[in-house]
Amino acid sequence: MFFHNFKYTFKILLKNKTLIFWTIAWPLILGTLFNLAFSNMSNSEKLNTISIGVIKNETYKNDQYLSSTLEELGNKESDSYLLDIHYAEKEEELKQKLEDKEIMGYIFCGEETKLIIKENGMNQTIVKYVIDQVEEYKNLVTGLTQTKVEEEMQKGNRVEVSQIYQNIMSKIGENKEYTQNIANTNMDYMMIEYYTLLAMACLYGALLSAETIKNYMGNINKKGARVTLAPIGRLPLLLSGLLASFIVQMVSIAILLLFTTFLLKVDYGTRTNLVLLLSVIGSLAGLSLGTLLGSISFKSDNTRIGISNIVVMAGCFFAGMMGVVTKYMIDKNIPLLNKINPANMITDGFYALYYYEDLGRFYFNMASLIIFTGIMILASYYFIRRKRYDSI
Amino acid sequence: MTVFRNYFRILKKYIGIIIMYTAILLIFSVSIVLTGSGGTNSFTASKPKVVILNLDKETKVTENFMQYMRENAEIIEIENDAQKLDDALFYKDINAIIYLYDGYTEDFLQNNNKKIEVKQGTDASSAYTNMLLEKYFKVADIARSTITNEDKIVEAINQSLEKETKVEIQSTLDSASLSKASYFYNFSNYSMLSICIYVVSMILFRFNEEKVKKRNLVSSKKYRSITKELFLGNLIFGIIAWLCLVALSFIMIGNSMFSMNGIFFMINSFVFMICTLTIGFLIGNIFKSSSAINGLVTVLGLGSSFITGCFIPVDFLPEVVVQFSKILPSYWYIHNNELIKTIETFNFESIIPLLINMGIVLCFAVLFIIVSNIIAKRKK
Repeated sequence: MFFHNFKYTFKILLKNKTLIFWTIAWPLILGTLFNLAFSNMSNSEKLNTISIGVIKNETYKNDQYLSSTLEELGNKESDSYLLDIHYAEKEEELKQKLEDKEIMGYIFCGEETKLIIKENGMNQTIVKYVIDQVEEYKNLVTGLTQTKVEEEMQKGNRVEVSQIYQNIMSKIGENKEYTQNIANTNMDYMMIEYYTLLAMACLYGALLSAETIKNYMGNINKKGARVTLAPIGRLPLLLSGLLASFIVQMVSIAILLLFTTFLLKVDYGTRTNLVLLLSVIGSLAGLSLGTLLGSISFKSDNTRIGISNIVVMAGCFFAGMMGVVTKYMIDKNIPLLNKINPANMITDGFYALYYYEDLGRFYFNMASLIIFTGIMILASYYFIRRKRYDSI
Repeated sequence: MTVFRNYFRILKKYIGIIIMYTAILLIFSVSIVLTGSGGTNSFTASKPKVVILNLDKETKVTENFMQYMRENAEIIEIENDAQKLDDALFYKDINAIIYLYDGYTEDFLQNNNKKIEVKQGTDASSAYTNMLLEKYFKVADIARSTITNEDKIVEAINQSLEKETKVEIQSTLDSASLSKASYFYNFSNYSMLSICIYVVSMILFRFNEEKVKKRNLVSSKKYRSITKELFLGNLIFGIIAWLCLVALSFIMIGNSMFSMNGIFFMINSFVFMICTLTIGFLIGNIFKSSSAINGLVTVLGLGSSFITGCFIPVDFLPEVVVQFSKILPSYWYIHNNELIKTIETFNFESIIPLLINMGIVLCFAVLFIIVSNIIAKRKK
């Protein structure tokens, strides 16, 4: 009887087009959309070449510091290539380019060096930084030489100005690094989007188990009433049905994991076993949520699917699906909300595996998911246990 | 006007969906109003957000460094908890964490400097933070290796780093506010698509249900008048939805909406609203199951919003995706919004591209009507 019920529940689930759409097709469609939209995001946010105009007048040509610095930064062969420089003799030409958005601004060397731009922004700030730096190094050379000369004269030493000047200039020319980046290399925050996708797919398992459980509830539908009459114990009935839901769910998660890993190149970190374990526990959490939704009596099936959708999508929204920053803002300002949000437990578990070496945070999320699953099962047990009907 | 009255009676059933999508738009618009600042007539340098953990004693050297960072960056105070700091860096709440190690000042003065450890992000602001740090430490190093007196070293650093290049802004546009307006109207692509397509297609689906349709056909009411009233119902619903959108934009964006740019944002969204109604009309005529319509609306709404620049700026999308998205009306609507925000003077020449884009959106609308009429006739 166990196998019989398992087989037919499995068939019923696979033939339900709506369920298959939401649990298998929809995560794949959404993942593809994420990939189309976000594949260029990380590169776009990086510091890219900045297009800038320079008026090549006499003052500019005479300013050795500025012209050589800009030449270096504009040299495509150089390691410090940063600026795509558009030279022009006349200002009108660059004004037009600024209007046409070919350049973000232009440099004009007159009595003082000016930067002309259309709007504020990071690229504009960086170009200003470059011009500032040229002037600052000039200040540094003159200021330090003067102070050094004064210092040596006070000591009564012989002063060789050109030697001091040469020393400072050679130090400015040195390519020495003063800082060391010790941040983790796994810094792509768009990965969170894909983790919410997996969280959504795990929780959509709720639709499968809700559909299964609903069919065993005599007070909810006619099929349930007939099944209740059949000579089969409640426990094997539920277990065989839930096992069928679990298998369909695991197939959908396996498809999604393979799709995101090999086609969309999502990085789940190096701990594959733990990724799989989290997917299984996350799926169980989704199925347990569905068990509860399936055992409660609703007006119609559409209401049940609607509520499942709202619970899952709202959870994913708070876990960062519609904007990664949302997750961080909630984690920071209303941490309790995300601590009880199963979508966030799954997302945060994947994030912990991707970003942190230490597994403490990962295990905390796993424990939270297990507690959530336990609560859902206990709550559904309350609705399912020892139901006897004289007449329905 | 029985059909017309019934249209709004059915509409009441979908009020929950309408409220949900409006709430999403509202949350989004509040978030764009809260971020960014206005005013473009003077230059404001972008300041990266950094956390400085000074593990050294408070000395002139460290205090001078802190002062330099306060002037060039926004110093963020976060609890010194490794996980909270790492989270902030990952989610780009901060661009760098700088660790000034214990004994830094002593090492600096004795020329024993170790490299300063920094955790930095991957974006342009983080790269800029690194530039600021490298410049400061280089200047400090050169000053220290040339002169010996601590006070004079600090003085020399500050003197050389005080240069400020003059920056002129050549624009009369309030670009910060207009950017917010374009973000708002770009995002409204998602809300309008979802609300209008869902409502129109679901109501048409109800009227197209076999039993209802048969009853309508045998009634004394002319078929043409039923269609007319349905059309009127759709149009009035669309106009009400559009008016709500425009009202929300006035509340959230404010002044910029009273400019010519604002008026064109409104006209553009009106044209797009017409197009979304026709998409709903087409779907309502094709599909015979409410769950299929539900799925299609979700895929269409989210799908075209993701790949046309509604959720993230078009500049961030891969070129192939941008080229592909041209087959969707959303692309032309969003492309127009991006153009509107940059126009300084409105004359015949400057508005021609806008009219062309609106024309393309209307062509899509006409195409959808023709296709749905062909399908409806075949079914008849």
